[in-house]
Amino acid sequence: MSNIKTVIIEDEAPARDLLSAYLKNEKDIEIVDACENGFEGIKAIAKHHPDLIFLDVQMPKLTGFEMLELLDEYPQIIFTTAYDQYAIKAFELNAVDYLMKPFSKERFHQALEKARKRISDKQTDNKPVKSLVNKVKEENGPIDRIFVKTGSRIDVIPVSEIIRIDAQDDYAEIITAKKSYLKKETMNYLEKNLPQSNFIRIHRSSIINTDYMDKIEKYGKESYLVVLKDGSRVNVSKSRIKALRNTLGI
Amino acid sequence: MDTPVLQKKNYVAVYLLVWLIIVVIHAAVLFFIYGISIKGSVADAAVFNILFALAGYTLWFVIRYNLKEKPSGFDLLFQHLMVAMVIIATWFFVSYYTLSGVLSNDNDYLQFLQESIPWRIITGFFYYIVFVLVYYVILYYEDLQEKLKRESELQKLVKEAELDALKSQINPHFLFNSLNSVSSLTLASPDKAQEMVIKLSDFLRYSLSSNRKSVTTIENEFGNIKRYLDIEKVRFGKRLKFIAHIPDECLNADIPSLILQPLIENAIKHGVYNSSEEVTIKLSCTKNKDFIIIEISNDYDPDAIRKKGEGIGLKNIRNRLQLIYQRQDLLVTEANNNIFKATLKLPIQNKKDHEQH
Repeated sequence: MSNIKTVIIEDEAPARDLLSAYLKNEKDIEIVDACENGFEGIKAIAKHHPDLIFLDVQMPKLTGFEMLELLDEYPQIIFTTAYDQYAIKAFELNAVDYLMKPFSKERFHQALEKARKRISDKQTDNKPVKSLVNKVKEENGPIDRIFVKTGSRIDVIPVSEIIRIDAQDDYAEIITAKKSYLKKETMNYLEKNLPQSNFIRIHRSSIINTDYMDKIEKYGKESYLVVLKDGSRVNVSKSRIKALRNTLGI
Repeated sequence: MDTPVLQKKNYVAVYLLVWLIIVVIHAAVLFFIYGISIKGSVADAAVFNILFALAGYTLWFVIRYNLKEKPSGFDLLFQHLMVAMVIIATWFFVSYYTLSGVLSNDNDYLQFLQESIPWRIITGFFYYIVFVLVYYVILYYEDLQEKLKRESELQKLVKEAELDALKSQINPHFLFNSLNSVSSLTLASPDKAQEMVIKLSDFLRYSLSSNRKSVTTIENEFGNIKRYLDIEKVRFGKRLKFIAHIPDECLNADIPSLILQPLIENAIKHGVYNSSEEVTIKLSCTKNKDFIIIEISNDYDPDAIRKKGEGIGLKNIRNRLQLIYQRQDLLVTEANNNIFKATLKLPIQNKKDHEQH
């Protein structure tokens, strides 16, 4: 049997050292990388295609959950957390394995044994983690930034910089003053999870940030156009005029 | 706030039963011992006692009202004497004329009524005293219950406040991640692990032994944040850098205990937690005529959007400053050029002022 390729993603050095020390005693485990944050983690996963990752939930810049949102394929995952009751509840609900820091060697072996079994059974779809990521994503409340992965590059877009979002088939085109980005995401999800105070879906295929609104133009009998500060014009569908008025308070 | 005898149905029953017994005894005594006619005995017993039962009911309000005013001993005695006289006079005359009207043709009884006047007055006073004593016992008992209830509520509140304070002092993330670091160090370098356990113990001891009211010196407080930062440095390594400048004149100045650590923790949370680069936390202290001024600053990653729940630590500090100094303007924060700065102004108090807090 080939070795289990393992990546450790953990921002605190002592915690990384401990995992490495434990893993070094396991003959079938090969640590291919140890990363300090989620960005490095994504790169390492793309590069090594590991079978197993140890993933800290709380990390700077990109948390463990945010990192998972950006992955297309999930390796087996053992989460680690010191004290995050929200995360622990999510793990329990989705029957995902996790280690609470500090953890004993026995507990560590238990988790590793389970992961080994799933790897040898070739359970590669990792449904529990997928449903966990979706749950966390839905329950997190309004999002304050969007991550876009293009190849191995990850852009962080604060929502305050977004001027508008257009639907492009399965993708959403996120337009800022500097650039536009393509993200595989539904308009429904974005409509629901962007801050309601200044984001509004004015058409089946467009969401605008009212902070970047220049004016509303009337054309024809009951048709309106929103003109944004970057000069772009967006059609307002008839059914959404009222919602737009409500958001703007007019 | 009703009469005690009417507060519960049981009490009403007891009150009525007691008076019924008194009526029966009263009537029996008149009939058997004094040889009064049966009609006269019953009427006498009923009228005098039922009227006093009603008077006793009103007396409750008098006592309750009076007790709230809390008059002194002599005033209280005087008031009772006046009230007793009014009640007994009213009671006596109403009973007397009712009975002499109703039984105007029973000459034996009328004679007895005439002769018993002094005894009626004495009995009235006796009843009055018994009533007052019973009412005072009830009031005292109620008061005691109330006090006990209030005390236990207060104690509960204090406990909750202490617990909240403790929780806000010791961040569980910090605690468990530190313990994990210790766990890791025991493998690679036991000496360092031991050092860390000692620092963590000292930090916890300091946090637990201080309360929200206590005052300490800047030197002590600085020692505590130094330990705290040493522990955090093990976790964050080169990501965390700390520079402090505290002139000697500041070291002995008074400072509310555990007020700096939340500010440092805040700097770590928003600086170090959210950045993968090196973050420098700076602390400086200056003293002028009226204030000790402490500045704590940290750089932060502008891309890292602040987490929700920010500001609870800062809000706690503001509340404490408000409690201690009755001022809202002693903690100022600003964010400029990717540097977050918290400025703490502590009024220098003279000793006399100080003892009041």
